[in-house]
Amino acid sequence: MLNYALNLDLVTLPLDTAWPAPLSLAVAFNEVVLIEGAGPAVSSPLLEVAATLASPVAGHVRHWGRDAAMGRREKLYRLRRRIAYISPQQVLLHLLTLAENIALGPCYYQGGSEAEALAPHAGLLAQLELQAHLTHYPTQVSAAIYARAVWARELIKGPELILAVIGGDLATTAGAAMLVNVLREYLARYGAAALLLGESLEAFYPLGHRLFRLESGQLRKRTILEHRARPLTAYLPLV
Amino acid sequence: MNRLFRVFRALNGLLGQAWGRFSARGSPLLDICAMFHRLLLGAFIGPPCVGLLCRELSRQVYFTAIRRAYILVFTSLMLGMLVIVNATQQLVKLQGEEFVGWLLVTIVVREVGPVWAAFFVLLNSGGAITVEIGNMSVNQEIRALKMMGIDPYRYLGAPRFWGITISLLCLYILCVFTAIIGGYLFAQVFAEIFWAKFWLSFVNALQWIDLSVGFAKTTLFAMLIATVSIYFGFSCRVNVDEVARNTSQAAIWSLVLVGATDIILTTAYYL
Repeated sequence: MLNYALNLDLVTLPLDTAWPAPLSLAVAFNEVVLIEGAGPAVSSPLLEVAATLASPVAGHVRHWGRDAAMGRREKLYRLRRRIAYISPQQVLLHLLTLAENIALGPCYYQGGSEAEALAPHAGLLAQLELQAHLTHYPTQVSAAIYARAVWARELIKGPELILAVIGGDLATTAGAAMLVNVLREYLARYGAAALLLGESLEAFYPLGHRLFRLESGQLRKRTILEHRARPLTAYLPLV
Repeated sequence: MNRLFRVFRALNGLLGQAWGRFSARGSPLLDICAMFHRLLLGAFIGPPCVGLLCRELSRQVYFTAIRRAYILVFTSLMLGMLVIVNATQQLVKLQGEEFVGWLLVTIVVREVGPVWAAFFVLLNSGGAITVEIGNMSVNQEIRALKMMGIDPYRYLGAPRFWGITISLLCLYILCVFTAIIGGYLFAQVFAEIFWAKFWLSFVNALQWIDLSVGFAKTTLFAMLIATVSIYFGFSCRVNVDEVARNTSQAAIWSLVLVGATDIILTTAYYL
């Protein structure tokens, strides 16, 4: 599994970003780890390093012990496909409709039409309340629908590792409740590891297995009682 | 010995500076060559997304070859007329009307036709491609594609590259055809050269080598214009100002490369 194989080894983030604390973190298969107190400006650069698999300023992003960026281009793209990266900075292609945007990944990798790609995921689209907006262009929809379309696009890829920054309209109670249901169903159906970051992730506590809080430059661990007995079988160390 | 060492060091510094300047100016050319190779093979290597690539390709062909083809038809008619207006007056005086066909083959089919169609595509689509990809790059859409595991050079670049190539070949045929019609119309009105004579003169003058050179030039011009436009589109990183700057740079690079290729192919033809 990718969450086991991927390893960020002493990675230094770009100079203009400020991840306040050195982070060593493990994410197990089917585990959801929450980090609170880190807004999009702080957490996006960290997750981007893992999501792009590009060479960082310093250190290495390794996949099965090898430098991920040194592999063949096709292999790098195949790896990226197995990671979902969602943040308020993620964008949709403005020349494509929401349906074309969401189905782009499966259409590119498996061929076939949008309808064929979206048909098995009708439930996900219904959960995210996107079906009425599929023919719209990204510039024609509200920010909330835009953000939900980004989630749909990333989950339809069938990722094994979900890296998400919770912010904007999806940080509201209603938006978060919708996402919790979507993530719960996805994890139950396909299985994946998830790392969620945001200012406040209280709505995601029912889903989380471990919780960290970023306080004055330090990560403090908090236990979520319902999930404390979960064994740690594989890991994604973020250093 | 010490003096010799200083001279050697100064010479080394000068050579280093010269190499630095050369590589700074030469690197876009090397990058364009690398991009050309990537776009040429890009459509055939990778996941089997034929439908998706065909959709992008057909959009490009529609945009380049169909939507404004009437402008090329109009300008090509004028090109044919201009050739005949300038030539027939002299040819009629010299009783050399049979050379009208040869003139059209040389000017329209082999020399000016490919350049005419290439300029049309450069003005119509080259800049548009640079602006479109440049804006996508500045708006982080290219980065989003990469994060989704989609090769942007294959998804955005390859269909535009082949779309421009197919379009320019079609437009070249259209340009030649309409230029001949335009030439015939003027030949009949001003020089009283009628269709049978005009057509016979043209067909007798037309050789396979002329058509081959015309098609070879058109294909290379199309590939160069597409590669340069796509390259400068992907080179945009920072803001919209860069898109405007890169669009003008792409036009200049395309002109230079098309001119250089034209000279090389024409020289090769006469050797």
